[in-house]
Amino acid sequence: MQDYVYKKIGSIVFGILSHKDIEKMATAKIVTPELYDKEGYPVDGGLMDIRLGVIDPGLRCKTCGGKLKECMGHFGYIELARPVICVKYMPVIIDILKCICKECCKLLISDEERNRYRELLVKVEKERGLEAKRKVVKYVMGQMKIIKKCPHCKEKQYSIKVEKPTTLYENDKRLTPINIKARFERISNEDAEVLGFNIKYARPEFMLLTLLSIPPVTMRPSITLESGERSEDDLTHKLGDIVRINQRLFENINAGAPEIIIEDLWDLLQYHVTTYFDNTISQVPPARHRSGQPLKTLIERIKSKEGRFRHNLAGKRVNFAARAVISPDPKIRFNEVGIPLSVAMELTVPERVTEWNIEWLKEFVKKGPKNYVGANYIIRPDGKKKKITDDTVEQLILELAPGYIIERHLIDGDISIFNRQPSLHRMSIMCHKIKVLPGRSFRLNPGACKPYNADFDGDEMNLHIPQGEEARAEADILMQVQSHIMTPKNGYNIIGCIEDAITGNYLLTKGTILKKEEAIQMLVSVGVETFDDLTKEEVDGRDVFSCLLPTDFNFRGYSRFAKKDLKEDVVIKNGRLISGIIDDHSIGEENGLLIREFYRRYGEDKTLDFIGKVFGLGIKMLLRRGFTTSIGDTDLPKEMNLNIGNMLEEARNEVNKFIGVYHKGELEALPGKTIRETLEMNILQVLNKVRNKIGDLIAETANENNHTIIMSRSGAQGNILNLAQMAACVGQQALGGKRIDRGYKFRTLSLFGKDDLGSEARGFVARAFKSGLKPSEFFFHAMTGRDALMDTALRTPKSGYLYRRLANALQDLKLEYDNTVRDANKTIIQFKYGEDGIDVSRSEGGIISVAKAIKDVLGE
Amino acid sequence: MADFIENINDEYKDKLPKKILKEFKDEAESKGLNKKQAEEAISLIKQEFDK
Repeated sequence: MQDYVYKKIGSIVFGILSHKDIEKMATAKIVTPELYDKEGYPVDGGLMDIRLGVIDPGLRCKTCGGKLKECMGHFGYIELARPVICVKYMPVIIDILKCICKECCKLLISDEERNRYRELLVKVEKERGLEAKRKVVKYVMGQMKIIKKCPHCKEKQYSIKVEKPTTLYENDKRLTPINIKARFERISNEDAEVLGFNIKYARPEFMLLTLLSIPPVTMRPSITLESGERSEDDLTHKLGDIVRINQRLFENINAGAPEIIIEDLWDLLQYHVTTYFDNTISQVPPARHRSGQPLKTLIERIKSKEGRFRHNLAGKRVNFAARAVISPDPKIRFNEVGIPLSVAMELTVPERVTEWNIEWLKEFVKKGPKNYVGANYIIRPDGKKKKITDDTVEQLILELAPGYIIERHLIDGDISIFNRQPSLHRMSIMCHKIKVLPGRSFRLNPGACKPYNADFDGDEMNLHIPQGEEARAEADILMQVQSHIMTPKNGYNIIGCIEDAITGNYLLTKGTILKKEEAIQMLVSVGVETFDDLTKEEVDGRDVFSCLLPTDFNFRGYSRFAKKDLKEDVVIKNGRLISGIIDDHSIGEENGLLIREFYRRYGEDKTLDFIGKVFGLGIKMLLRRGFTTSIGDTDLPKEMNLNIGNMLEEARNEVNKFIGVYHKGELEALPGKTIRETLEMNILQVLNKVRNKIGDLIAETANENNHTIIMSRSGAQGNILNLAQMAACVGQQALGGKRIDRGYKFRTLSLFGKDDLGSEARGFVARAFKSGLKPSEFFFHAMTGRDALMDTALRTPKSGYLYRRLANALQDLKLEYDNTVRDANKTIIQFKYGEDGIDVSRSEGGIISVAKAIKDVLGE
Repeated sequence: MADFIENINDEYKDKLPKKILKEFKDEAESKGLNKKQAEEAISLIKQEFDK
């Protein structure tokens, strides 16, 4: 084995290459814009010179003799006819020009002052680091910029004007790069140090280019198209332009051409060099391909999402992965994922042949890649990979021996990793067991959507197949769905029953009587096999539910409607549901107290099984009973409609009364509010009150068998307010927390009177969705609807970026074995995790309840 | 205070926050836990902290 020498990097220094450095580093001087000769061989002195490395398989590098992939490539250089500015240093160049005298090129401070600053800078760097030094330099430069007369030669200083990006004027006279370079060359080392330069690695004049370094060919490889034509890299295109213009500039200078032509060419050279570095500078038209597409030059290669860092270094592409649309399947388990056959036959699991499994694995090879369950490749012990085909299959079967590896198709129970972006928390990527199903989409149990924040409106998800034993074991032990039932956010279950499953269990435990046969059929279909408790011919729904509970399970909790009185109405004793209705407070997501208790008692595997069974039972219950929501749910009795009409009329009168008092000037302002604000507050109060009253009225008088009411009472979906909006009154539309007050001058819509403050003119929708809205009401509703839509559309990317920055800042923090939280440098961030050491996923909302622990022990 | 509760409090002095221990002491006394129950309860509480 090769011996490695390990070294630790102490520090990194960035400098600027001088023209000597560029020349020393280079292996070739580029003099011609031509790339290839007639035979297609790279031209000597051209941009594809083989001294810069090779990209053709047949050639060898002239510098190191290496072939393609052996030679990393070498730099070259172009000698520029006239110096040009490196656009990225422009801000520094401007600053320096402002700090030095235009005649003597000394700093615009006295020598004593300069020496004082030099000493200060050395001290600051030593004591407080480079960041602090940079601040001091900025301060010193700020002091110098305002000086108008050189303290050394007494010459008057003019202000420097910048015409972006690279043209500079001093007293209306253009400063050419030659002028600037000449000034910079005269800056003494001592002065340069005060300007923040470390003269060992950079001097001001290095920021003006006389030689341009040419990157190796390997960094800008050309591609050969199908037609045999070569297509060059964007950088090569750009460098070609530079060489061409540079050559013309040389020729014109040598021929003694008029200054104006030379200056034009010089500007053109400056433009090409500028866009070679950065093609996204504002005020510079980007260099384009013939197709009109902008070239991707040096800066664009590095920065932003598609740049080298975020795309190539921080993000990786992987094999053995699949992506497809997801669709729901409540019949598979929470920790399963349904995959199409086509995916199962494309992705593989490497299986090592041993003398115990050789016969089993031979069957896969026999079926080959085209038949399920087959295998796609075999890997010989020497690492050679062989594709299984009709021609090779016979011979490969004979050859098969322990030590070979077979890449077989996926089968049920294989381990996969399932992920949905954005991966915002650890539950966004979990381990699921494979279930091969017909169809073309990935199938996910709808109860497992919450952790991924997935729905089925076209969402796509990624599936990965771990290829090593270690990876599989890790996924199996740490990443399985059941290990993430409890969220580390607050210790409640993130996986639970949803929608129909909640409604079903609610109806089942709310006085449903079933025949014994029916009950047993339902239970068998969800996988329960013991029903000793079901002794009578007619059984209560609670007893059916109890069949899912272990006999030693005790629990006390609240149902949705007992919670406000803190009455523990859901009571389970010795595995029997004695009282209470099961709703989302017991089995729902994020607040399923029953699930939480079950998890504490019986652990993750049993809990997942339990949730699955409860889920199945709920759905079975609805299937048996039938459940729908219809427009008839919003029908109200005639007298109630009248009642609601009266309530609305009363509210309208009350509002008008307030407005009358306001106009008379008799309204008293509330503390801290203007009179107008007080009026608005009073009106809003009245209108909100009437809507709530209508909601209460509907809730009170609602038919218990109304399906919309059932859904809202069970916590499955919706609330009474939604029903009230559909059946009775939509209510006040609010923009930015206020009634609507924008539109025309003095009025919201043209049909309202001037300064109308009444409820209707300010966005109160007195009608219901079912009866239909008036045009003005519809308009107000559309206004607030669009506002909400825009708000979400604008907020999502903002909070996404905020999260990204936060996650990047915190990504290295880790709980170490000594219970401290440390970053990548092992610096202690917290002495105890979360300062209190509580494992939130085991607590209840981040709080440890001592009383509850004692109650548990006493079996209360 | 019962000796065993004091012993438990001493034992868990460095492992659990003071607030939790005080709460435990008060609750355990008011409920009149016996030694075995008290030990069980404290281990339940400890479980909810990081190991």
